Amino acid sequence: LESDRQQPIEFGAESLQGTVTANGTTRLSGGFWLDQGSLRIRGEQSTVYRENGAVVRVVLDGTPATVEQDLDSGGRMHAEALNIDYRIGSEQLELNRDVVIIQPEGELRGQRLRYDIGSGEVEGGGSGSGGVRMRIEPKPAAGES
Amino acid sequence: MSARQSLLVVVLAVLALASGIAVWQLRERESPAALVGPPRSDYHVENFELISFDEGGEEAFWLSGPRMARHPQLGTLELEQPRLGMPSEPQRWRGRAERGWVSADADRVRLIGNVELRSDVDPGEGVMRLSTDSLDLLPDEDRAETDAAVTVQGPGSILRGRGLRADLGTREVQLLSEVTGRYEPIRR
Repeated sequence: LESDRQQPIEFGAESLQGTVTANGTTRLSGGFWLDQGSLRIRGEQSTVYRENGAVVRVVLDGTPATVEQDLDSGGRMHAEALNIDYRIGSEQLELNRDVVIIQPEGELRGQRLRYDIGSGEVEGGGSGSGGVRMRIEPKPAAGES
Repeated sequence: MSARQSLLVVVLAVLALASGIAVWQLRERESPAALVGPPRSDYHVENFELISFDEGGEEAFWLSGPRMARHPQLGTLELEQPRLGMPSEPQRWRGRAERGWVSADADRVRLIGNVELRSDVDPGEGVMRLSTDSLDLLPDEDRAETDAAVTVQGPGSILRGRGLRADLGTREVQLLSEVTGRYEPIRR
Protein backbone atom coordinates (compact mmCIF):
# COMPACT_ATOMS: atom_id res chain seq x y z
CA LEU A 1 0.00 0.00 0.00
CA GLU A 2 1.12 3.54 -0.75
CA SER A 3 0.26 4.45 2.86
CA ASP A 4 2.66 1.80 4.19
CA ARG A 5 5.59 4.08 3.59
CA GLN A 6 4.27 6.69 6.01
CA GLN A 7 4.38 4.11 8.82
CA PRO A 8 7.36 3.47 11.11
CA ILE A 9 9.45 0.38 10.32
CA GLU A 10 9.76 -2.15 13.13
CA PHE A 11 12.29 -4.98 12.78
CA GLY A 12 14.26 -7.58 14.69
CA ALA A 13 16.82 -10.37 14.42
CA GLU A 14 19.25 -12.36 16.54
CA SER A 15 22.23 -10.05 15.87
CA LEU A 16 23.02 -6.77 14.12
CA GLN A 17 26.03 -5.01 12.70
CA GLY A 18 25.78 -1.57 11.16
CA THR A 19 26.23 2.13 11.56
CA VAL A 20 23.98 4.41 13.58
CA THR A 21 23.97 7.02 10.84
CA ALA A 22 21.41 8.53 8.46
CA ASN A 23 23.25 6.92 5.52
CA GLY A 24 24.64 3.43 5.73
CA THR A 25 23.93 -0.27 5.80
CA THR A 26 22.91 -2.57 8.62
CA ARG A 27 23.33 -6.36 8.45
CA LEU A 28 20.92 -8.43 10.51
CA SER A 29 21.26 -12.17 11.01
CA GLY A 30 19.17 -14.90 12.52
CA GLY A 31 15.38 -14.85 12.13
CA PHE A 32 15.09 -11.44 10.48
CA TRP A 33 11.68 -9.77 10.39
CA LEU A 34 10.56 -6.33 9.25
CA ASP A 35 7.05 -4.82 9.39
CA GLN A 36 5.85 -1.50 7.95
CA GLY A 37 2.11 -1.00 7.84
CA SER A 38 0.80 -3.99 5.82
CA LEU A 39 4.29 -4.91 4.61
CA ARG A 40 5.74 -8.11 6.17
CA ILE A 41 9.30 -9.15 5.29
CA ARG A 42 10.82 -12.35 6.71
CA GLY A 43 14.13 -14.05 6.08
CA GLU A 44 17.21 -15.56 7.69
CA GLN A 45 19.49 -12.60 7.12
CA SER A 46 19.29 -9.23 5.49
CA THR A 47 21.03 -6.02 4.65
CA VAL A 48 19.07 -2.82 5.18
CA TYR A 49 20.15 0.30 3.27
CA ARG A 50 19.30 3.79 4.56
CA GLU A 51 19.63 7.10 2.71
CA ASN A 52 19.00 10.37 4.59
CA GLY A 53 17.44 8.34 7.36
CA ALA A 54 14.95 6.51 5.14
CA VAL A 55 15.10 2.77 4.49
CA VAL A 56 15.37 2.57 0.71
CA ARG A 57 16.33 -1.05 0.10
CA VAL A 58 16.25 -4.42 1.83
CA VAL A 59 18.17 -7.41 0.46
CA LEU A 60 17.40 -10.68 2.15
CA ASP A 61 18.12 -14.39 2.01
CA GLY A 62 16.00 -17.17 3.40
CA THR A 63 14.66 -20.64 2.80
CA PRO A 64 12.58 -19.02 1.56
CA ALA A 65 12.65 -15.30 2.19
CA THR A 66 9.16 -13.82 1.93
CA VAL A 67 7.54 -10.44 1.25
CA GLU A 68 3.84 -9.86 1.75
CA GLN A 69 1.90 -6.65 1.29
CA ASP A 70 -1.65 -5.40 0.74
CA LEU A 71 -2.19 -4.03 -2.75
CA ASP A 72 -3.75 -0.67 -3.50
CA SER A 73 -5.76 -2.51 -6.15
CA GLY A 74 -7.19 -4.79 -3.44
CA GLY A 75 -6.14 -8.15 -2.09
CA ARG A 76 -2.71 -9.15 -0.84
CA MET A 77 0.52 -10.14 -2.58
CA HIS A 78 2.83 -12.92 -1.37
CA ALA A 79 6.29 -13.31 -2.91
CA GLU A 80 8.97 -15.76 -1.88
CA ALA A 81 12.41 -16.78 -3.13
CA LEU A 82 15.82 -17.78 -1.78
CA ASN A 83 17.01 -14.21 -2.41
CA ILE A 84 14.95 -11.03 -2.61
CA ASP A 85 16.11 -7.51 -3.37
CA TYR A 86 13.35 -5.04 -2.45
CA ARG A 87 13.81 -1.42 -3.56
CA ILE A 88 11.19 0.22 -1.41
CA GLY A 89 11.17 3.63 -3.11
CA SER A 90 10.32 2.21 -6.55
CA GLU A 91 8.33 -0.75 -5.14
CA GLN A 92 10.45 -3.13 -7.24
CA LEU A 93 11.09 -6.70 -6.10
CA GLU A 94 13.92 -8.68 -7.69
CA LEU A 95 13.49 -12.36 -6.82
CA ASN A 96 16.06 -15.07 -7.40
CA ARG A 97 15.85 -18.87 -7.15
CA ASP A 98 12.71 -20.84 -6.38
CA VAL A 99 10.51 -17.83 -6.99
CA VAL A 100 6.79 -17.89 -6.25
CA ILE A 101 4.52 -14.84 -6.59
CA ILE A 102 0.91 -15.17 -5.52
CA GLN A 103 -1.43 -12.30 -6.42
CA PRO A 104 -5.21 -12.09 -6.52
CA GLU A 105 -5.00 -12.65 -10.31
CA GLY A 106 -2.99 -15.82 -10.06
CA GLU A 107 0.35 -17.40 -9.35
CA LEU A 108 3.73 -17.21 -11.03
CA ARG A 109 6.77 -19.45 -10.60
CA GLY A 110 10.27 -19.15 -12.00
CA GLN A 111 13.93 -18.79 -11.17
CA ARG A 112 14.41 -15.08 -11.81
CA LEU A 113 11.58 -12.58 -11.75
CA ARG A 114 11.27 -8.84 -11.36
CA TYR A 115 7.95 -7.72 -9.88
CA ASP A 116 6.54 -4.18 -9.72
CA ILE A 117 4.27 -4.18 -6.71
CA GLY A 118 2.68 -0.87 -7.70
CA SER A 119 1.56 -1.94 -11.19
CA GLY A 120 1.53 -5.69 -10.62
CA GLU A 121 3.76 -6.15 -13.70
CA VAL A 122 6.13 -9.11 -13.72
CA GLU A 123 9.21 -9.50 -15.91
CA GLY A 124 10.47 -13.01 -16.27
CA GLY A 125 13.74 -14.62 -16.66
CA GLY A 126 16.52 -13.83 -19.05
CA SER A 127 18.78 -16.57 -20.48
CA GLY A 128 19.13 -19.71 -18.48
CA SER A 129 16.47 -18.65 -16.02
CA GLY A 130 14.15 -21.54 -16.76
CA GLY A 131 11.30 -19.39 -17.98
CA VAL A 132 8.11 -18.51 -16.11
CA ARG A 133 5.08 -20.66 -15.33
CA MET A 134 1.88 -18.73 -14.80
CA ARG A 135 -1.53 -19.80 -13.60
CA ILE A 136 -4.31 -17.27 -13.95
CA GLU A 137 -7.33 -17.64 -11.72
CA PRO A 138 -10.48 -17.86 -13.86
CA LYS A 139 -12.78 -14.90 -13.32
CA PRO A 140 -16.08 -16.14 -11.80
CA ALA A 141 -18.78 -16.06 -14.52
CA ALA A 142 -21.51 -13.42 -14.00
CA GLY A 143 -23.80 -14.55 -11.18
CA GLU A 144 -21.29 -17.05 -9.72
CA SER A 145 -19.70 -15.95 -6.49
CA MET B 1 28.76 -42.93 99.10
CA SER B 2 25.01 -43.52 99.15
CA ALA B 3 23.04 -44.33 96.00
CA ARG B 4 21.47 -40.86 96.19
CA GLN B 5 24.87 -39.14 96.22
CA SER B 6 26.22 -41.18 93.30
CA LEU B 7 23.09 -40.37 91.27
CA LEU B 8 23.73 -36.67 91.99
CA VAL B 9 27.34 -37.01 90.80
CA VAL B 10 26.21 -38.66 87.53
CA VAL B 11 23.63 -35.92 86.84
CA LEU B 12 26.23 -33.19 87.49
CA ALA B 13 28.73 -34.92 85.19
CA VAL B 14 26.16 -35.12 82.36
CA LEU B 15 25.30 -31.43 82.83
CA ALA B 16 28.98 -30.47 82.75
CA LEU B 17 29.51 -32.49 79.57
CA ALA B 18 26.42 -30.93 77.85
CA SER B 19 27.49 -27.36 78.64
CA GLY B 20 31.02 -28.10 77.46
CA ILE B 21 29.70 -29.26 74.08
CA ALA B 22 27.45 -26.19 73.82
CA VAL B 23 30.35 -23.83 74.51
CA TRP B 24 32.54 -25.65 71.97
CA GLN B 25 29.85 -25.37 69.25
CA LEU B 26 29.21 -21.73 70.02
CA ARG B 27 32.95 -20.92 69.86
CA GLU B 28 33.02 -22.40 66.31
CA ARG B 29 29.94 -20.46 65.20
CA GLU B 30 31.18 -17.19 66.61
CA SER B 31 34.34 -17.18 64.45
CA PRO B 32 34.02 -13.94 62.43
CA ALA B 33 33.32 -14.23 58.62
CA ALA B 34 36.27 -13.27 56.36
CA LEU B 35 36.46 -9.46 55.94
CA VAL B 36 34.55 -8.76 52.64
CA GLY B 37 34.48 -5.43 50.75
CA PRO B 38 37.05 -2.96 49.67
CA PRO B 39 39.61 -2.29 52.25
CA ARG B 40 39.98 1.35 53.37
CA SER B 41 41.07 3.43 50.30
CA ASP B 42 44.45 4.99 50.68
CA TYR B 43 43.00 8.36 49.65
CA HIS B 44 39.76 9.85 48.40
CA VAL B 45 39.04 13.18 46.77
CA GLU B 46 35.88 15.22 47.06
CA ASN B 47 34.50 17.20 44.08
CA PHE B 48 37.25 15.98 41.78
CA GLU B 49 38.10 16.67 38.18
CA LEU B 50 40.55 14.27 36.57
CA ILE B 51 42.11 14.46 33.08
CA SER B 52 43.88 11.40 31.76
CA PHE B 53 46.42 11.65 28.93
CA ASP B 54 47.44 8.90 26.52
CA GLU B 55 51.01 7.93 25.72
CA GLY B 56 51.20 10.62 23.06
CA GLY B 57 50.24 13.26 25.60
CA GLU B 58 46.79 13.69 24.07
CA GLU B 59 43.75 13.93 26.34
CA ALA B 60 42.29 10.42 26.57
CA PHE B 61 39.32 11.26 28.81
CA TRP B 62 38.25 13.47 31.67
CA LEU B 63 36.14 12.58 34.70
CA SER B 64 34.48 14.68 37.35
CA GLY B 65 32.19 13.95 40.27
CA PRO B 66 31.46 14.43 43.95
CA ARG B 67 33.80 11.67 45.18
CA MET B 68 36.63 9.42 44.01
CA ALA B 69 38.54 6.85 46.06
CA ARG B 70 41.70 4.90 45.18
CA HIS B 71 42.09 1.21 45.99
CA PRO B 72 45.35 0.87 47.97
CA GLN B 73 46.51 -2.45 46.49
CA LEU B 74 44.96 -2.50 43.01
CA GLY B 75 45.46 1.16 42.16
CA THR B 76 41.98 1.30 40.64
CA LEU B 77 39.61 4.24 41.21
CA GLU B 78 36.04 4.03 42.46
CA LEU B 79 33.83 6.98 41.49
CA GLU B 80 30.47 8.28 42.66
CA GLN B 81 28.06 10.03 40.19
CA PRO B 82 30.83 10.34 37.59
CA ARG B 83 30.58 12.64 34.58
CA LEU B 84 32.84 11.59 31.71
CA GLY B 85 34.13 13.27 28.56
CA MET B 86 35.95 11.52 25.73
CA PRO B 87 37.45 13.31 22.73
CA SER B 88 36.74 11.23 19.65
CA GLU B 89 36.88 12.03 15.97
CA PRO B 90 34.71 13.45 14.52
CA GLN B 91 32.81 14.39 17.71
CA ARG B 92 33.25 14.21 21.48
CA TRP B 93 31.29 11.88 23.74
CA ARG B 94 29.89 12.65 27.17
CA GLY B 95 28.75 10.08 29.73
CA ARG B 96 27.26 9.85 33.20
CA ALA B 97 26.28 7.11 35.62
CA GLU B 98 25.60 6.36 39.27
CA ARG B 99 29.04 4.83 39.85
CA GLY B 100 32.25 4.35 37.98
CA TRP B 101 35.53 2.46 38.05
CA VAL B 102 38.87 3.17 36.36
CA SER B 103 41.47 0.47 35.78
CA ALA B 104 44.93 0.92 37.29
CA ASP B 105 46.51 1.94 33.99
CA ALA B 106 43.44 3.96 32.95
CA ASP B 107 42.88 2.03 29.73
CA ARG B 108 39.37 1.02 30.76
CA VAL B 109 36.63 3.11 32.37
CA ARG B 110 33.48 1.32 33.56
CA LEU B 111 30.25 3.26 34.08
CA ILE B 112 27.67 1.49 36.25
CA GLY B 113 23.98 2.19 36.98
CA ASN B 114 21.68 4.30 34.73
CA VAL B 115 24.48 4.78 32.24
CA GLU B 116 24.04 7.27 29.42
CA LEU B 117 26.67 8.04 26.81
CA ARG B 118 25.90 10.54 24.07
CA SER B 119 27.80 12.11 21.25
CA ASP B 120 27.95 15.83 20.65
CA VAL B 121 25.83 16.92 17.69
CA ASP B 122 27.41 15.84 14.42
CA PRO B 123 26.32 18.15 11.57
CA GLY B 124 25.57 15.25 9.24
CA GLU B 125 24.55 12.55 11.66
CA GLY B 126 22.94 14.27 14.62
CA VAL B 127 23.31 12.82 18.11
CA MET B 128 23.91 9.17 18.96
CA ARG B 129 22.96 7.99 22.45
CA LEU B 130 23.65 4.72 24.33
CA SER B 131 21.64 3.77 27.45
CA THR B 132 22.40 0.70 29.54
CA ASP B 133 23.15 -0.49 33.05
CA SER B 134 26.88 -1.04 32.63
CA LEU B 135 29.26 0.20 29.93
CA ASP B 136 33.00 -0.24 29.48
CA LEU B 137 34.87 2.50 27.61
CA LEU B 138 38.29 1.93 26.04
CA PRO B 139 39.46 5.48 25.34
CA ASP B 140 42.67 4.55 23.51
CA GLU B 141 40.68 2.45 21.03
CA ASP B 142 37.67 4.80 20.84
CA ARG B 143 35.44 1.85 21.70
CA ALA B 144 32.57 1.04 24.05
CA GLU B 145 31.28 -2.38 25.01
CA THR B 146 28.80 -4.09 27.32
CA ASP B 147 27.21 -7.50 27.78
CA ALA B 148 24.08 -5.95 29.31
CA ALA B 149 20.83 -4.94 27.60
CA VAL B 150 21.37 -1.68 25.72
CA THR B 151 19.41 0.91 23.73
CA VAL B 152 21.09 2.81 20.90
CA GLN B 153 19.38 5.91 19.52
CA GLY B 154 20.32 7.80 16.42
CA PRO B 155 18.50 10.24 14.13
CA GLY B 156 15.14 8.59 13.42
CA SER B 157 16.19 5.19 14.73
CA ILE B 158 16.15 3.14 17.92
CA LEU B 159 18.00 -0.17 18.26
CA ARG B 160 17.76 -2.50 21.26
CA GLY B 161 19.68 -5.64 22.04
CA ARG B 162 21.80 -7.50 24.54
CA GLY B 163 25.57 -7.18 24.25
CA LEU B 164 27.16 -4.28 22.35
CA ARG B 165 30.49 -3.52 20.71
CA ALA B 166 30.68 0.04 19.39
CA ASP B 167 33.28 2.09 17.50
CA LEU B 168 32.64 5.61 18.75
CA GLY B 169 34.54 7.15 15.86
CA THR B 170 32.66 5.52 12.97
CA ARG B 171 29.41 4.89 14.92
CA GLU B 172 29.61 1.27 13.80
CA VAL B 173 27.78 -0.90 16.31
CA GLN B 174 27.36 -4.60 16.82
CA LEU B 175 24.44 -5.90 18.86
CA LEU B 176 25.10 -9.49 19.87
CA SER B 177 21.58 -10.83 20.54
CA GLU B 178 17.88 -10.14 21.03
CA VAL B 179 17.85 -7.32 18.50
CA THR B 180 14.77 -5.19 17.85
CA GLY B 181 14.64 -1.81 16.20
CA ARG B 182 12.52 0.94 14.77
CA TYR B 183 13.03 3.47 12.01
CA GLU B 184 10.74 6.47 11.97
CA PRO B 185 9.16 7.32 8.61
CA ILE B 186 10.72 10.28 6.84
CA ARG B 187 8.17 13.07 6.54
CA ARG B 188 8.14 14.13 2.84
